[in-house]
Amino acid sequence: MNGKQNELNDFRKNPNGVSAGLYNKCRPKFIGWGKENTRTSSHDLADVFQNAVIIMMLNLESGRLTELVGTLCTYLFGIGKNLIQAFRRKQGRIGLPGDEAFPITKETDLGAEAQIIADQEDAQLWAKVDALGEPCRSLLALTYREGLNSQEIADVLGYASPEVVRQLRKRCLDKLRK
Amino acid sequence: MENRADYLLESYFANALSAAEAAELKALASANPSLAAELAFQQRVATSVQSHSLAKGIQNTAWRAVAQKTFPTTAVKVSMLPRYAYAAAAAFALLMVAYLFILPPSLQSVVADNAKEYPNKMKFKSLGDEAQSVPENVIRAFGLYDNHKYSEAAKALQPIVAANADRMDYRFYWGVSLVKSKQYAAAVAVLTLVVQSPDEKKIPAFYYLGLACAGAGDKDCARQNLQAYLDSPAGVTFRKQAEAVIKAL
Repeated sequence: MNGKQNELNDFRKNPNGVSAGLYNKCRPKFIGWGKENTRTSSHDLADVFQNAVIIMMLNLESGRLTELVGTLCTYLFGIGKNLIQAFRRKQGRIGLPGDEAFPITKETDLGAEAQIIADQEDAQLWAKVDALGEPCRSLLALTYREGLNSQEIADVLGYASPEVVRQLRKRCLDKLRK
Repeated sequence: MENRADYLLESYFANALSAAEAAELKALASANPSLAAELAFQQRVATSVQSHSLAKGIQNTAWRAVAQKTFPTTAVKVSMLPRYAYAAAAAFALLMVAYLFILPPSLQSVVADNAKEYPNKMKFKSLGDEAQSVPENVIRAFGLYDNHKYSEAAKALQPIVAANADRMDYRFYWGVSLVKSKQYAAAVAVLTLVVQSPDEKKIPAFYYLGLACAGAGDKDCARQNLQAYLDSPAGVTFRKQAEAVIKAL
């Protein structure tokens, strides 16, 4: 077993210590790189880095990450770059009626009672998403919360192709509909 | 569902739709109820996942605690010493540039730059037959003047002027030699008598006296004599230089 795999084992044994090391050494590099190469603030880059660490943990826990090609920091950079791409797109998004960020008008305003019902339905829907477990939970969160496309999700979750992601997402959505 | 609609839906949730594609998706959804229903369903899913962190999906409680922990951003310690050194070097370079190109030149340097030569117009120089009647010391003094050795010319002309008090032409060239050799205070005393005389050198003498006054720091005297030169119809040759010195006063 080489040093790179030791990083994964070290994390399993001492997640707090290894994470502290990543935040102290890798995060400044990532933020420095992001500020130099993307028009993203340090605050947003710090959030992106935290999400990259969470995705790394999800991948490790689910068995999608079993060995590292480079260092753990390099792996986080790979995830972070995809998250930044999605983040940058989100800043220039075009909304449609029904969209969370779509401006509320007289036509689209549900009214207070309807809003309460919609919130309850959202909570129920989230409970169903949560109950799906991995990988649906992460896949749906990355698709609809972080705005990653299928190629980017394949990259960060370690799937072979974007088509695999599309098929998987379709199955997850079908389960939700039941 | 059509592949095109799938593509548009994915692009929409990946925030990658162009304005034209957004209009296309809207039109397709209006025409196709099943697509409209799918869009609305996925929008509901999107709304439901918005407020839930990815970290909640981590089953291992220790890992989840780490994932939700806030690690303070550590400031990168950078020594400021090289920056101060660069700043000091840049400031010094800026001062040098300002000194050389931006700050106004001193009045004395303006005077020196605008003190043009006055050609030797003494008749003994151009008329050979008169040269024989000119004393040797005068010929030597004007030889120094012609060779731009003004400091030596001034010394040589001093006894000549003393011996020929009525010759304002000699006095004028002595004054010019003093100005050219930057002996401004002495030049003021010498040229003052020339400008007060009716000699033909009176007009250029205003110019050289103005320079001498400026070089000696007497701005009123300088302004007065240079203006007298400019006001004279004969004050043509050194007009540009006189104006430059007045501007610098």
